[in-house]
Amino acid sequence: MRLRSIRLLIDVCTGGRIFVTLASANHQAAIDRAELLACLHRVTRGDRLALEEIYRRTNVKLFSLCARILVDRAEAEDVLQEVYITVWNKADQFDEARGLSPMTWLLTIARNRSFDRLRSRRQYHGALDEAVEVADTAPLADIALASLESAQRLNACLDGLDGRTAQAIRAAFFGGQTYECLATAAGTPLGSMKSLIRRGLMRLKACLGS
Amino acid sequence: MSVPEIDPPDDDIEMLAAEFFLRLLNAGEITKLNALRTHNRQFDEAVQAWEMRLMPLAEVLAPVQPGARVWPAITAAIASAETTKPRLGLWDNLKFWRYFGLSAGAFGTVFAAAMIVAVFLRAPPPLPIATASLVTEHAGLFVATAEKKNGGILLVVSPSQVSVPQHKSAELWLLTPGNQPEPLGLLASNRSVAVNLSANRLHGSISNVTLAVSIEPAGGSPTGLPTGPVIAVAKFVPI
Repeated sequence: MRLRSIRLLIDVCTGGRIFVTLASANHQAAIDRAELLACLHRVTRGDRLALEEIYRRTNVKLFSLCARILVDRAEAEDVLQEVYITVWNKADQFDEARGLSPMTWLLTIARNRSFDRLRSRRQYHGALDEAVEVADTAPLADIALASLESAQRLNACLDGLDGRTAQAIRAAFFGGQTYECLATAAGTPLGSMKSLIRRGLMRLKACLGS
Repeated sequence: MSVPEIDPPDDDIEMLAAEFFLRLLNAGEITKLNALRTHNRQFDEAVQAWEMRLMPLAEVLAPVQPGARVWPAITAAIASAETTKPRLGLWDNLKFWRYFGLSAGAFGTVFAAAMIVAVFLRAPPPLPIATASLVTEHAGLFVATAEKKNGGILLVVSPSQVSVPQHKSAELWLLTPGNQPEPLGLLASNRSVAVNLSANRLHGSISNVTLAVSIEPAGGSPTGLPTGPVIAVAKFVPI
C-alpha cells in the first residue's frame, strides 16, 4: 500500500485547558520541524517513503537555492538529485542534539553541493566569469511566517550595514565568491575587501545576537 | 550599540568560521579548515552558528519548482546503489564478529546463526503504522512514530523546541482505557528517544493508545504515576 499522506489529529490539553493547535505560525513551524526530524530518523533505518516525504516537503526550497547559485536549471536539477541521495546516505550524520534545524541542515547540503558543482564548472571553463552582482532577494508574501521572521531580522541587520558590505556578504553567500574574486570585481585591494567584510560580519553577529 | 572598528585577528575562530561558511577563502585554506572542523569542536560549532545565522537568506528565495524528472532519478539512483552496495547491517559490523569471538573453530556454528540473523536484518525496513503529535505549551512538540518490531511496537519520540525546567524531567506515559497511566521512560529535549512496547501493553490496537508527557522531579516520577503537570496529551493516529 502506498503512503499518500500523514494525517495528524491532534488532541491537546495542557493543565486541563484545551489549546487550539495549528493556529500560530510558531506552532506550525515546530510541527514541520518535528515531522521532518521524524522523517530523517526513518531514513536512517532505510525507509524510502520517509525520503519521499522529505522530498515532498523540501524540494522547492532546496531547488530554489540550487537554481539561484547555479542559474542553469538542468545543472541545478542534477545537484538537487545529489542532495537527496546525500540525505539518504548520511541522514544519520544529522545531529539534532546540537540545535541545528533539519531544514538548515538540508539547505547547507544543497548550498555545499551547488558550490562544488560551481567550482568544477569554473575549473572546467578556467575562468571566473560569474557576475558578482546579486539580484534583489526581496522575500515573497506567500512564504512561511516563521521563516519570514528570521529572514526579516537578518535582512534588517544586513540593511544596517553599508550597501557595499551587505552586497559583498550576499554575493559570498549565494555566489561562493572568495575575497580575491570580490576584490577584483569591486576594483579594491584585497586587504580592504577583507576588512570590509570582516567588520560587516562582526556587526551582523552583534545585530543578530541583540 | 557600537561595535569597535578594528579588524579581528586572523586566527579569530569566529571569523574563520564565517569565512569558511561563506567560502571567502581560497581552496587551500578551505581544505585545511575542513580538516580542522573534524577535530576542533569549537570551530565546528562556530561554523554551525553561522549556518543558523545566515541560512534564512536561502529560505526566502522566490520559489522555483524542479522538473518532474528529479524524483524518479533519485529513486532509481538509490535502488541501483542498494543492489550493488547494501546498507551496512550487523553482517558488516566488525564489532559483531569480535563479540562472537569469530575463530576458525567457531566459524561453522556462528556462520549458520549469522546467516539467519543477516537474512532477517536485510528484510525491508518496517513502515510506520501510527503517529502522534504531543504539542506542549510555548509551541514545543514531541512527535511519536510507531512501527511494528519483534511482535511489539517501537516508538521513536522526537522533540522539537521543547524546554524542560531545570532540575526536572519530562516523562512519557501510556494511557489505555480503564487502566492507570504506565510510565514509558524519560524524554530528552535535545534528541530522539526510542521505547519498546510489548504487544500486551497495547490492549488491542494502537488506536486505543494515548500518550501523555508530564513534568516530574529529575529522574522521573517517584510514585510510578504522574505527579507533575501534564504538558501534552495525544492519541495515536494510524497512517
